[in-house]
Amino acid sequence: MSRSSTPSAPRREGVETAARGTHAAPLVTAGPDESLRRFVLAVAGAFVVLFGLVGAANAVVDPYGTVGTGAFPTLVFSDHRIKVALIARLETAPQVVVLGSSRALKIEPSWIQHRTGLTGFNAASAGARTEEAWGYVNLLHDRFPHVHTRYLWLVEPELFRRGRTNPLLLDNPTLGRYYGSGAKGASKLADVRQLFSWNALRDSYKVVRAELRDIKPDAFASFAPDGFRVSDRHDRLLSQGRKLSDELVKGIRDWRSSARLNFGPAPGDLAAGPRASFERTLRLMNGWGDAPVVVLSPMHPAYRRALGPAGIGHMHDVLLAYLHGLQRRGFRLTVLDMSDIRSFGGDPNAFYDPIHPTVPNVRRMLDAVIARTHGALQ
Amino acid sequence: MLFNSHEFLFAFLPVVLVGWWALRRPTARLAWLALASWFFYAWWDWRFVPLMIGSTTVDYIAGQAIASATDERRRKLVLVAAMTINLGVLGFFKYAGFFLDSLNGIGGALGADPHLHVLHVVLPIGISFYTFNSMSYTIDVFRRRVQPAAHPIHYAAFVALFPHLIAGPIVRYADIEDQLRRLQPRLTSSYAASGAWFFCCGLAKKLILADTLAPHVGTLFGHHGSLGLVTGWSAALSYALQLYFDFSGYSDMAVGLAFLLGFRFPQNFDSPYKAQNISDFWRRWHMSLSFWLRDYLFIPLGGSRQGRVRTLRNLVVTMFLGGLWHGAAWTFVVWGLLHGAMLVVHSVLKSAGLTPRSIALNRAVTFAAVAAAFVVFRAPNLHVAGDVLGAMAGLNGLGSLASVHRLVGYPTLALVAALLAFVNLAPNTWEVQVRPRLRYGLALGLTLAASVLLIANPSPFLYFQF
Repeated sequence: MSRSSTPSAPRREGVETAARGTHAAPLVTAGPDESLRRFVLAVAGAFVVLFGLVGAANAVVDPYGTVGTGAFPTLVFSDHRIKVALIARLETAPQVVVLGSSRALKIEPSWIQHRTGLTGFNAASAGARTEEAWGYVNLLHDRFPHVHTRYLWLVEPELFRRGRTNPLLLDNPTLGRYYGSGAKGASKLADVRQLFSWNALRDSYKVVRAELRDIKPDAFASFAPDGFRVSDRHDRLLSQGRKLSDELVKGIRDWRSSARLNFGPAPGDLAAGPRASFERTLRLMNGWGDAPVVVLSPMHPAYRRALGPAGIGHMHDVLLAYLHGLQRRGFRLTVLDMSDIRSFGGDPNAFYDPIHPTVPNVRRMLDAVIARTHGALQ
Repeated sequence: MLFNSHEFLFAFLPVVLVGWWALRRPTARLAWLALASWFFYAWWDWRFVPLMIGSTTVDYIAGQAIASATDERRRKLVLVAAMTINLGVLGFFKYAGFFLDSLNGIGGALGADPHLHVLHVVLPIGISFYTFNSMSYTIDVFRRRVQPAAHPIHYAAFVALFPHLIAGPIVRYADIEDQLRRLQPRLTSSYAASGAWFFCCGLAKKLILADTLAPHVGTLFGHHGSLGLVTGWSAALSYALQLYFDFSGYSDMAVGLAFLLGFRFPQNFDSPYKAQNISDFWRRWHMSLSFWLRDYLFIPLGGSRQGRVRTLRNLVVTMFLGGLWHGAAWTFVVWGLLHGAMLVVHSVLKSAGLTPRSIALNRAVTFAAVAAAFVVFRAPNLHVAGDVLGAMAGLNGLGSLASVHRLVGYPTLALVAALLAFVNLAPNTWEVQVRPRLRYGLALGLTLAASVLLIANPSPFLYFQF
């Protein structure tokens, strides 16, 4: 950075350098004005054509069910349709309702009943954030208004990730009515945006291919009447010989690539929308006289170790501090940290992947939860 | 608001461009631009808009006061006051927490326990860039190199101008003064074509190249403790490429947007990885910053006029502060000092006639040194940087291509190799002579669409954090 570091003279005619006091001359200059105009129109035209074609193809195939063409089955398997149907078929009110994301899908209400005598329903859903719980809690309360319900809510930082509310939740006629028109409007806009993406085109291709091969996404999941997901993609992959070690490597890689995008303004922050939704649901439960048991979901120890320094440890601490902060603010909830499997004597081999425990580990965790909640689930 | 977001591309930009070219009166146009830029900034966090407007006001008033003062002492006094406020704001928001934390750490290491309360202040995005823009204005007015801004709106539009507001290039008032005084009356085909060229290239660099590399860089640095020679270098090279395509992509977009508004911005990157020595690198990398540091720091420190030793000292001090400008962390301090040391070594070797004659060798050595230094820049702390640098030095053994494959896959390796060839052989965005032919226009439009279709989860630019 000596004075001799003044930029050299232009090396090629017509190319501007950044010598101080000079500026970039327009680079696309060779040619009459008419050809420049054509050039600009060609840029705009090519953009509109490709962008439009991709959007149109995605709108027709409609892989996420956002347009409603119905030409093909949606790619995203929605728990909501099935869970709503199962709730409609319930003859008696569940005494324990399980909430959460895919990590909670293997919680067996029958095991809870076996340990506590309380009947239950698993209202967790894959890909859920905190908003999903609002719909299910309201739906079950409307269905069985005079029943004292206990809630077991399995949470993790990803439940508080940024993003939009699941369109399949908002579009579900039964659950969607618990969400305001604002959320639905914003969701529709996001849906439209999502159609204009390579990701959506890839998913459209998957949908078309699956249709041509006559594969139905629902075929991979089966449910018990109490909402427990008996078998799903995880079980299928396990039976096909998928190794946990491979899943761990993949999970760690995926987290590194996506975690930065998914949370609030600062690394580890919980996004504002899901926090508001979580608190709204807690307030509702508390108002009905129920204090939920909130459990931090277990992770594979290798995953914890690998990603702890990269942010998972911090996110876990932020979530735990947030939950304790809610208690200090007067919310009534019992908080249990089961993210470390040693806290419930978990088996590191009893995982499908880094974050989804298999039934034996879930049972161990439930036993520990029941023992430590001192009657909250009894 | 990110340039690579739907909100920006399909709502903000069209509205701003229509308003800008529809308005006739220059003051109204600049007011529109300033308002739009504040809105652009407020999209991130509206609470910091008053801070930026405050900083703008301080320097505008200081510029007027300096220009109107006849007494040299008074001129200096105003300059010092303005610099104190600018650096004070920057220091508070960017460095207060770091220094207090460091003092606690040093005190603890010496046995004392100062227990200073560490401030956790949210860093206003782009503060380093707009503060440097503002400071250069006040200093240039003091040096009588520019006239003070004709109108507060001129100055507000200059500071807030959204294409360069968040991550540069650091546009000096002298760069744009004439353009603000004589606004383009209409968008010419030539400017529109150049704007389209730069913007499309920048967006493609960011979305197609940098964002593709980003997760793999994260994976490699995440395994810092188990990297070998091959994986260590893969991490360093991947990050060097990611950073280049990310930041030069942003700069290209800024230049393209400026063209679409009828402005011309200075070049910010000139094929930095073709540099033949470290001094050459700094003439090609983040040029607006390196020239800023040269003109407002290195030369005022004495530059190269006061003997060999002081020249070398000035180089180190300049690079140390340049490193610190990037962020309040020891990694940036060490990165700056590393570059200072490399400039010193180069200067000494050059004067002793010991630099190699081979251009290829010079370029390879320079690139390797720069990529190694970027490891410190990327690492979250010096411990991680030490791990990766140790692996690159072969302290953990050779490793293998298979280990890279396990971590990031062969396609990524192929991409890194292709991009290395590209940055070494291909002309940069400013060097390409674009003929306004239909087929080139179609190719550019398809590239733009291909890039925009990648916007699923817009990722911030790396230089936003500075």
